[in-house]
Amino acid sequence: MIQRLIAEVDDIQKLREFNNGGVNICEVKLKVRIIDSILKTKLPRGTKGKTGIIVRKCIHHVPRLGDHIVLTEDETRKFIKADVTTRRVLQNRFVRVEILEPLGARIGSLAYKPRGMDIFAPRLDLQKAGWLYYGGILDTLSFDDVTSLWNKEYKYTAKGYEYKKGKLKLLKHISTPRELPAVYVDYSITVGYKRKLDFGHHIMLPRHGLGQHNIVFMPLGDRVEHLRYQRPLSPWIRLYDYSGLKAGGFIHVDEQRSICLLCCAAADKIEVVRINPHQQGLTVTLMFKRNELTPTTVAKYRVLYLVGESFYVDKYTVAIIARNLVDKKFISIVRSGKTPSYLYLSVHGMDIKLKLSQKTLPGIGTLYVAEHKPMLMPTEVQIKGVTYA
Amino acid sequence: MRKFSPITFGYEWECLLLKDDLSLANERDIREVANHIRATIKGSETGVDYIHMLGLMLELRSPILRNFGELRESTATHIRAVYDECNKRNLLFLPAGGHPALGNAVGLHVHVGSIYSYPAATKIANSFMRYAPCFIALAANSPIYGDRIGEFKSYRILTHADFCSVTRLLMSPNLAQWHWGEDVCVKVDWHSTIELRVGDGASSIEFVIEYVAFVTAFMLRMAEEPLTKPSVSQYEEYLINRWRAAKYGLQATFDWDGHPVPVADILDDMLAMARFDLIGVDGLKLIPRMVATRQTQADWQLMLYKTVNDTFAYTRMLIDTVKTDDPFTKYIENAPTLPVCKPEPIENYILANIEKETPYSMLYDLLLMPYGMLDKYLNKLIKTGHIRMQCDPRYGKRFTRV
Repeated sequence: MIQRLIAEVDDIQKLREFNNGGVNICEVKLKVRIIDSILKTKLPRGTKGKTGIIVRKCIHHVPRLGDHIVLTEDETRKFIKADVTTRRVLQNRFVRVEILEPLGARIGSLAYKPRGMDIFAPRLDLQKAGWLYYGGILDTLSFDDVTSLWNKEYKYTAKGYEYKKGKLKLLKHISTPRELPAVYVDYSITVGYKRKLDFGHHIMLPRHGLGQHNIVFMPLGDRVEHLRYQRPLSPWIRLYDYSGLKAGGFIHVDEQRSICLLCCAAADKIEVVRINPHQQGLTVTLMFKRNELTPTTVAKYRVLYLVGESFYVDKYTVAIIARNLVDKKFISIVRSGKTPSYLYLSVHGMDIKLKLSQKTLPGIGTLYVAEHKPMLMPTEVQIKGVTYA
Repeated sequence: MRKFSPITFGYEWECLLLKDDLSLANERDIREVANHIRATIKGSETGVDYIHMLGLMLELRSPILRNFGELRESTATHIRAVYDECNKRNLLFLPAGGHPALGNAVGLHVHVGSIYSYPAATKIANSFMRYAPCFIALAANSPIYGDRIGEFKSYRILTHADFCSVTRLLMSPNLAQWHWGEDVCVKVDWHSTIELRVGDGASSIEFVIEYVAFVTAFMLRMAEEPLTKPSVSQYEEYLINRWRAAKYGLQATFDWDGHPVPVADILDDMLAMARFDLIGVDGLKLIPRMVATRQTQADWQLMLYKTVNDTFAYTRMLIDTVKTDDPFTKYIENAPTLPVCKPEPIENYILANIEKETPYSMLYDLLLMPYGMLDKYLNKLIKTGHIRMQCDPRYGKRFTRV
């Protein structure tokens, strides 16, 4: 991802003029000085005021001294390598996570290492507030204005990423457990006075490559709901709300890239999952139930994201499987509204039955986990199903 | 007795006002520019319109015009006023069919009046409808639309101008009702006009002047013809030609009474038929040259875009380029003639938009084709084994590519 820089023309040198198919073209060498950027974030130190040379072919209009121009992506790369230098990377043997501090300390990149695939790849998008990056996992303090923290700068402290506005203090801690293909996001929020707090996660899957092979499944106890992405022709909003997520989670699957993202939180705390397939991409908002806070109470939330390459879903359960290339093992993680006992896998066309063991995570609930080490690492492994106790 | 009496016409030319970072200007600033223009230009109805969820755009609305001289004078005055106001406020003026880096619909609507009978206006609009794709081809000016570049010359029409220029419903004059945003829209209840909404926002002042004159003169001619309701096959041709106009611009070949005819040939005939004399026009210069070379503003934009190959840099470049002395008019003087394109079958486009569990409603949105007609193409694709259909009590019909 790269934004665009705005530059002022300091010097112009005409290189040549020629005619191409009846059109007069003037090639010019421009000395430009960076004055601003399309995205209103803090630019890497030393970028503003930097000068450089670019060459452009001009038709009808040759820039004049003092004119402002917008640099192309390639021209921008001559001045900055990345938009956000204040990024932190966390990783384990399964995932690599990038946190972009100036952009709401969002999880801007979540890559499944065995396949080298990133679930998010933010792109520039215009919203009412101006240019923003669409993509990643963000916090939201409002059901209706989910973009309020898109470009907010979080401060990195020993306790985590901190955001303050008035008396509101949001502390976010992001970690990757050693043994799971997962990212934990923990929150402590204080508001300093008596008020109702809305809080949720806003997951933005940008549209590049996003087609009808992207699908979100939700186990609702009596049925499995699914919503397949269709890029709408109109910019109108269509919202789909799902409540009563029995497994306390849902799963996004990219069938083309064989990559899945399972999101879970304490089932009794989730109010709704809202899906909005729109022109910019697929947005999933996980909203927690309203929390009535006093000046002394601390609201705590925890969200877990699991990444894998194959999945299973039924009306009670979502499951995911990921491979660990270091130990040459597969790990299956099941999140369910019931108590699953066994998991069935298909490896090299053979069915394998694995006993699931319980793993209780504070703030999340119970996960059921099984590991399998095949003789040969297969290219594809599938979860066939689970049985319940 | 003339159906349009007195003869009046006007336009709504939507334009973008941007900040230095190419985001939309503040709503207050845009309103201020609009208010200033309305206050200073006699009869101007300039105001603002909404860009869905994002903000506002400026809508240059002419006064009620009666002849070509007034049209030329009014357009020039409006443009001078916009640039003056933008300079004062450090705003950038972008007249085009959409924001290239964003992809949103910006149009040029023409109103022709005065007509006071809704059924009579409906008859004219019904007859005029089949010519609407010719005006789409002529006005194509949105070939760079966010991440979609160059496959279509009017992405604005491909996306039905964010559903603000939709296919006209075929209604009996006596049963006709108002319906939002039709390509050819009877506005007898709002004003006293028939409105053509298909045009992309133009980047050339001369084009705006000639296009408005051409639409008006041609509609005046239509009103003199014996008015007939289009047949079902003509209605289908209108829908398919609309898509082809969006894709190929003036290089399109239309289905015209069952025969393939280049749109440029149809436009030649239309230029000869139009009653320019009724609005005091001696003749047009730019549009006949565009028709002869099959060049549109979209082709010009694509040529410019190639110099930077970046939607953001290009947006700024386009803003600076259109500021100069009507560059499109200069370009067209020496522009090469483009070939006529052989049309791609419409079912290929439908098929390209079917992947997995594609809803019936989404396929309808592609062409806004009546379901009975759409079924014909879908059944063909099912028969040839390209797609399969699932019926689900909850979701209705859905289609998956095989």
